Amino acid sequence: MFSTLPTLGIGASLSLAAEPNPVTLAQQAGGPDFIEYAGLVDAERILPEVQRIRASNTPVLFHPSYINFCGSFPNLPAWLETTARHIEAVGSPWFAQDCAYCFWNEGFGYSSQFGYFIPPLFNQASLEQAIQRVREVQALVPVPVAIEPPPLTFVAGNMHLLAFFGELAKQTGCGILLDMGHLLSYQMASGRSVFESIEDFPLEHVIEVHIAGGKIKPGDDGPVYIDAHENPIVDEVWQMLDAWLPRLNNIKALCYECEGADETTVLETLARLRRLVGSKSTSASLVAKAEKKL
Amino acid sequence: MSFYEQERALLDLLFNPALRDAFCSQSTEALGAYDLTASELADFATIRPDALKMDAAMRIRLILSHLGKHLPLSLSLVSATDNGTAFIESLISSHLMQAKPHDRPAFFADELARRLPADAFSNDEIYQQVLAVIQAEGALCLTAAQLKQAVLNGEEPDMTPPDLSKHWVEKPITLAPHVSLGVLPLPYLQLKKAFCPKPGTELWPHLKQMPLPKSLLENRLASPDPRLLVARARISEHSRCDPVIDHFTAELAQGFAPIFQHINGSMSVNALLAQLKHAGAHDGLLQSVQTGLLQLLESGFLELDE
Repeated sequence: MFSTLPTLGIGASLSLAAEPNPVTLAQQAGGPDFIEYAGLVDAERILPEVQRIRASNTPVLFHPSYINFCGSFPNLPAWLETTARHIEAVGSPWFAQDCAYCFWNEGFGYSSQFGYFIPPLFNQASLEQAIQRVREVQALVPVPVAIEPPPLTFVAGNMHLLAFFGELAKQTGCGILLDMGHLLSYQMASGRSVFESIEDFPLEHVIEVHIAGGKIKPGDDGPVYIDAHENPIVDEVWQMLDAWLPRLNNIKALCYECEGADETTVLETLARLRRLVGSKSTSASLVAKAEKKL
Repeated sequence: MSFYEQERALLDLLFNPALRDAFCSQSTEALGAYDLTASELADFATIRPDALKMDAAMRIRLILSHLGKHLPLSLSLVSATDNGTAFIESLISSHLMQAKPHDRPAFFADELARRLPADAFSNDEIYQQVLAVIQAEGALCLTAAQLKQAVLNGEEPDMTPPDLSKHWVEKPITLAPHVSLGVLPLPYLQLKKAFCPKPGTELWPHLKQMPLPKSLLENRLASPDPRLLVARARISEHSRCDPVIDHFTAELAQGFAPIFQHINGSMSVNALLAQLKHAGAHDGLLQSVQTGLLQLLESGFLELDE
């Protein structure tokens, strides 16, 4: 499954319009193997920057934030067709996005319109809607789709996160992107271990992993994890990665989301990630990529 | 029973503060108005009230940061009233969040103007000035939204300048599409310099920390220099999904404002000038009005009904 996808290695998610400069960073000895970017739907607006990155032999991954992968509100064909053209123009080998509400009703637009993603309800009816949403995207997008459990301040619904996403992946054949901070956020918001439902979870569908900075805020009823990429990676997130890496033998990309971080932090973190992959990962192709730059 | 009802309850918990408060104190009993079965209600029992409150507060901060790009003066000026930032936050509602994203800034400005308490200001003159600013910024948002929707519907406006080679003074004159008018107490850039301490998305977080002092409004608005802001929305970046709209603007002396009441396709420039002459306008003023209207036609703010 997903055997035709290339292994991209250990990369970084950066803003194309801000420091650190993706091209400069990619050209450094310990720089990212690939660049992921959260872009606008129209490729024309980011194509010059992406072409500069690709000219330095660095592949790119498109990571949008405007597709409804859940809920009863369908995506407009015009947005999906433009997404398909975007992916082809930048050569993204797959594309992944948080499975959450980006718009409501017969709308459209970016998740920022709600502040950030609105998470799905975790129940059977919601799962059935998500299956429809993923299939409608797969029908129009020319590369494999991967869905990502979103960051969760609160959890609505009794179905376990891994049961929801595992079934969604099995029913649609889509890939999965696991963000270690998002998984920690689920544990804190639900009070349940993320590994509670791992027996039935299709680990082979996990093709990408994210790690990013964040904050743990105290709440009246316990801590809440806040996804905040400009911050350092908290210890609990490193521990989450430590626990997941040995279980995931099909990962093609490990991405440090570091928008707002300085260059030194990015390079030091990439080095730490490569060491961790070398010692813990069961994805042979990812280990090989990591060891090249160690 | 329906999933749609669950979605409606989810959105309302995030953006309806009264429902959220009730939920935080009474749990799922607060959702009695929704057509939900016991098991559908139970899905909401997993929500931690403290986390829900934290989530909603973060969303409102980010949404207002975004709105600050569209309504900078409105947010700044209203922040200067007692509990002004809390009043602004209270206007983020489920109703607003269900509108199309490009319609929201104009809806929000409309709600802000409608609910702005007159007694929150030192005197009625300042209240009227602030109201005028909110209405002017709201009108900019409205024309931008209308143009965006027109583009999404495949209706590109004709931006060809009118033929002014001959007889233009004899043809009925009207506003071009997507043009707004607003009377400001001072020139727009002067207002922004005086009242917007930060640009774009940085403005709201700053105002939340440090609302403008009331005395700043009293000082800066004490000697108004009113301007008529004329603005036309235009497409700055084409797209099938997400066209970008901006405005080109002109500022005229406030005396021009009454003239615009007659620029509605019913009168020519000649007829307008004749009416002004009949009302006692001198030749110098008539010449200046004709020159002004010609410039507005050349710039694309006005059109001739052919």
